[in-house]
Amino acid sequence: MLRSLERVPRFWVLQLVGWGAYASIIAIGVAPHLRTEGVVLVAFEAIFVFSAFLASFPLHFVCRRLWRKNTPWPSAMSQAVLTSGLLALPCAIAARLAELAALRQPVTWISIQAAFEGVLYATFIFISWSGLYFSIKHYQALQTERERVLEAEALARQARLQALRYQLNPHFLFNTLNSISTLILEGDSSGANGMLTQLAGLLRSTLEEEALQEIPLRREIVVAQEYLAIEKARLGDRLTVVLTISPETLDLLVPALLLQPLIENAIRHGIASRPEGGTVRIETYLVGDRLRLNVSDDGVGEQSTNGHEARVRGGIGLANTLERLRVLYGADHQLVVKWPVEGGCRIEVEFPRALSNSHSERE
Amino acid sequence: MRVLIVDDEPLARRGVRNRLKQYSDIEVVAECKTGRAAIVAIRSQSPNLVFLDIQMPDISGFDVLRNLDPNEMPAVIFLTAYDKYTLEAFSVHALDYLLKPIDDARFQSALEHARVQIKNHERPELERRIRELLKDTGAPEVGHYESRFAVRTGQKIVIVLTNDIDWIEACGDYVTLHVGNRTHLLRQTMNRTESQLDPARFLRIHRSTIVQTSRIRELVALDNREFLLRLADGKELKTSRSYSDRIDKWL
Repeated sequence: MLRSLERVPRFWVLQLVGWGAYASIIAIGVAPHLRTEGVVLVAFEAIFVFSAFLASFPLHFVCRRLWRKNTPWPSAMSQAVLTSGLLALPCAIAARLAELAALRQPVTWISIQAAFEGVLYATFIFISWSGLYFSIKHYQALQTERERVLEAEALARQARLQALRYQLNPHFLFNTLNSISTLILEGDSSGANGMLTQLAGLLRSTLEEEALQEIPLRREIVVAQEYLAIEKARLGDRLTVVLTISPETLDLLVPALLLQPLIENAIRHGIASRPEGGTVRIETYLVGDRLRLNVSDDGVGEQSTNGHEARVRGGIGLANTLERLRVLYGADHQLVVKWPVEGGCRIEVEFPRALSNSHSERE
Repeated sequence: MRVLIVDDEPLARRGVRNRLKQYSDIEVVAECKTGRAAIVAIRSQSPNLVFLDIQMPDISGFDVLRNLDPNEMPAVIFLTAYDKYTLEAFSVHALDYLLKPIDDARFQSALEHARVQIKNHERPELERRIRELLKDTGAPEVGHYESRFAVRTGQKIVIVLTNDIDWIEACGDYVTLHVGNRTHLLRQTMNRTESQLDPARFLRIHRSTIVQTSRIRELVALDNREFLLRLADGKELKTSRSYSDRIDKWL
């Protein structure tokens, strides 16, 4: 708001500058005739400009009222024109009176009538004034509106991201709790404790990380490993995980909890649904100045199944991830899903590399 | 009493087995980690009671029961992690179930209940209730989708199995069925064709395109909620924004 006030000077500044400029133009126009008609012209123009300046205040009052009451424009225009005409009359008369005084002529009804030529001119001046007034008001309103829209967009974006914040799959949560319950029953307190700690870490991440937030890949990997440790405990030797993390990617920023749903998707559909299990591969590396993340499984591919066994892919995972990438990076990202002929599924995500703050501070 | 434990997660199976240890009259005859193994074990071991997990990798606990003959049906205590609708179905049909993580007191009462039922030979009644439950939790009917189209070409009528269709293209009042490197022209509208196909396998991606999802090899997200699909035969298809909701749902 302050900035818009700076951009558009307040009423008084405009009023003085405007009339000052008008007076200067008149003065320049009058100057060549000074020698011949000197005093008379100065008296006429000075009184005209001054009275018009004074009349612009009641005009301002009327225009402001019209603006504030949101008067429809045909009605506002006719009222402004009428007011301009009414205000023009005394101005023109005042100027004529000054002129008569300068000419030392008597003030008669006939001599004043000459003022009426000036009424049209003064009316035009006031209509221009009103026009300028409404234009500036419109400009300011537009400016405010634009700021409001921008602000609303930012809020909506934030809200959308908040809604997209990843939530733990309830199946996963309750099955994990059940595993912990078994470990307790068996007296394996360190195993139970370890799993509880991992689950707590994962819960904390899903609760704490803002969806908008980008975190260093290093941290994202820690969260992913917590998740993978739990899945390994649940699935036993059916799950093999291969992490290939390029060291130069560790300090780059990624959307918080980007990997976890992708990995969960790979495990859920690629591994857990296959009794013999399989391998989940997670790769991160740089492609030029872009960060590439791949999550793939060698589980049931869409192709390798036929008819009724067709693997049901999906759930909120991928659509949600895609929406987050769209909001965060606009068009500057890539998400590719591949179903190789050999089976399994491979998800490739790519977006611009950005170094985390903590890293640059350290540097 | 002969008991079978069916759950895909080793820790979950151990949880049930450990809780059964305190009962001297209970013998765990087998543990199964898949639904198919469970069907075999129920037939060969004929247990009195089965602890049966609902969500399993190959076939669900319900499908295990669907595959059993009436005289094979044991008493069942269902195990489930989280499923509101399933729980409602259990309550409606007065069947015992255990929520994970398992509560010891509930475990005990479910077991006692099953023991009483087995002793009183209530099996036919139990079986009836299980059948009712299976009806309620049944997979949606798949019968009303076409499995084939009859395409008239000149004097011949060619039968095209829907399973063989890679993708379908709208051509005015006709649709073109792309099957491998052949095409067949079918005189009907796109909307009608879409309604005849199983939505689990066929996805409308554009006003004039339907694709069989199993043919999709690669999916590239473009701007504006559009996607580029690459099919097994290399054909590239673009999705349209107006169908992006369906694609999101499928994803």
